[in-house]
Amino acid sequence: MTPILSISDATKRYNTPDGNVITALDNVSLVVEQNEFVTLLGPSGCGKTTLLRTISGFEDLETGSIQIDGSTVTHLPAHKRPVNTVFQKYALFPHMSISKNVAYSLEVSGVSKSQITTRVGKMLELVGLEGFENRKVNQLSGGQQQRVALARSLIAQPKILLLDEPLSALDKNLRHKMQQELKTLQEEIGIAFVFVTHDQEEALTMSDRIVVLSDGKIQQLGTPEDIYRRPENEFVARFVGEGNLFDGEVTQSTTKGASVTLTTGQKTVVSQSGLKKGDKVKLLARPEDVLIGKSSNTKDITFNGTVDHVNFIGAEYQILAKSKDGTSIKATFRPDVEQRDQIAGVGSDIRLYVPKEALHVITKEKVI
Amino acid sequence: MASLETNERRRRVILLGLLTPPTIFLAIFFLAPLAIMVIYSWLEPGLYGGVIWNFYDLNYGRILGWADSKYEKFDLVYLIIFLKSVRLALTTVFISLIICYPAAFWISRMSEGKKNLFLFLITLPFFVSLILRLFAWVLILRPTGFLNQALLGLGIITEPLHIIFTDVAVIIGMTYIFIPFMFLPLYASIEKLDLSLMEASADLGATQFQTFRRVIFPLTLPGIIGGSIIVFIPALGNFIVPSVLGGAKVMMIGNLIEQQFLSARNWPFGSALGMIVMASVLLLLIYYVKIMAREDQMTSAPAVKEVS
Repeated sequence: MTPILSISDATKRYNTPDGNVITALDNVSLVVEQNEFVTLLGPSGCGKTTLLRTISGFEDLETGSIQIDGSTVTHLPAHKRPVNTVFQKYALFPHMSISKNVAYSLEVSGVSKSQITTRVGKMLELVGLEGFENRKVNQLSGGQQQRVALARSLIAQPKILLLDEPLSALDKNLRHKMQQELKTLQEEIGIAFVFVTHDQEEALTMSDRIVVLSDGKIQQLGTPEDIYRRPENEFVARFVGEGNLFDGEVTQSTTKGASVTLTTGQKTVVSQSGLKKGDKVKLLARPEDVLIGKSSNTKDITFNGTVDHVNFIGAEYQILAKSKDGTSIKATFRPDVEQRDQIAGVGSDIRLYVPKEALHVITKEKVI
Repeated sequence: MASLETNERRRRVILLGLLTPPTIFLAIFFLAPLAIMVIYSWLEPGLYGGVIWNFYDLNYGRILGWADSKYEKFDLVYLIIFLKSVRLALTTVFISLIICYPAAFWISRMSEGKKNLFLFLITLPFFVSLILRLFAWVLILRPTGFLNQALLGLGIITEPLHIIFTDVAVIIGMTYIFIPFMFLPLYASIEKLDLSLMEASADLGATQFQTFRRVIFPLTLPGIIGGSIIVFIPALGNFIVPSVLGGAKVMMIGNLIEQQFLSARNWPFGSALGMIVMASVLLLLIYYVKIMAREDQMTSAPAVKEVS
């Protein structure tokens, strides 16, 4: 099956007013399969919105090409591309009713009146807004406007739906609800979604695959589990989720794994192969993999220190502990019912350890 | 509660104190002259100027067609002058709209500094006396003026064009002086046009023309109507431009009214003519307000907030 979207070697640079050149996209290649939910994730200014706008046709590429469903669209103007966009602030037409907004793409392409009426009706039903046909945009809440924007961009049956941070204007509860709805909707209508966000949690929840971008380059491309559990470089590890990074050096390497000595002098083993003796590496341990107590395995990383900070966030506690030599470690844990009243207080001594199986080796800082 | 009430009372006293002087000022210097005009238009003109205090509807009769030809004669010429003024004013509105609409688009997309410079340039003519600027146009448009010299010199024409003292000169002059009035309301509505709406329209498959017709034009319509009215009203009653650039050959309703007051010393008839101009403008304004009320309902800022 041909991929629905294929971008190769896309490069785009901007001139800033003060004479500098910003590389928004630097040789980006990306393939999106049919029915896939792909998220472009990165901090602001990483190029994710530029990438989305080159797909929709609002930005021209300097070099590289874009194919949608097998046909090249690199130089096609936006109104001729078989993709539609849900804009960040929805960009609904304020002078039109809801049904006129939804019908817009059908009206400009000359679909017959009776067909428009049926299709608009179906679409509004799909997004749960039946009965709102004659309302004006400003009579709707944020979540409802969001749905109108979705209906408007889906009605022309685009091959890909592009979403530019569409949930950022909503409050937290509604955002969670819309995340679920979007995912369900995508599965229901079966087209590819390319979703832009800077919210890593949102990306992890919704995506089939995530593209982590920074400085106009793809830092990592993979499933949410890949990105979270096996980040390929330090940037991804730090940007997605929280983490503890331990500096170390490879002292011995075999096909089954490697021995690593940390700067603190502790020795541990990791299962990654392909490392060379003398490599400087970082070991990633997610806070939920840091356990309280004394380890029974000498190859686990252990940590003795005092509690510096405790955050209660409902289901779990976050602890920040500091050792005597100044290094700190983050741990999150969910206490059992019996343990609840025995949470270590600030200033008390604590023993923590990371099972060696939870360690992930990072060798690179960033793709540059 | 008691303190709340005294607060409320004090607020009212202050408001009353602040609002009374301007109200009195407006009543004396704005409404009173208007009332004099209304009353005079229903009085009999005196033989040597002044008025005779009789109810007299023939001032309007002379214009609208029920004069009895004993004292006053109905003459179609007044209506013709009025309609001609309407035509000249509408032409002025149309030409200044055609010039200002693209200009406003162009300036609204400039960088902040440039934008302010151009807005300043557009208001710059206000710093020079209107009469001076109109006489400058006489120098440009007369047979031996700049325009004709330039066209003759370039060999485009062989004989000087007779522009001065024609309708064309009046239209050029009025367009020139009213362009800022058209530009500013247009600019205000074009500048707040959300660029993402145009992108959304293109994204949904609309061509540039469709985007203009379905999105840009309806959203800038309040500016178009506003600018048109602000230009139309003073253009309709204008008498300086036709008297300087139109000479004796172009008569607009403003010149006619001026004549009645100053040369003919027939204040009641001048007032009646003025009332007819005012009534037609008022009708136009009522129509505008109705349209604006409808637009407002549709385009007030969308609320991006969940009401749960």
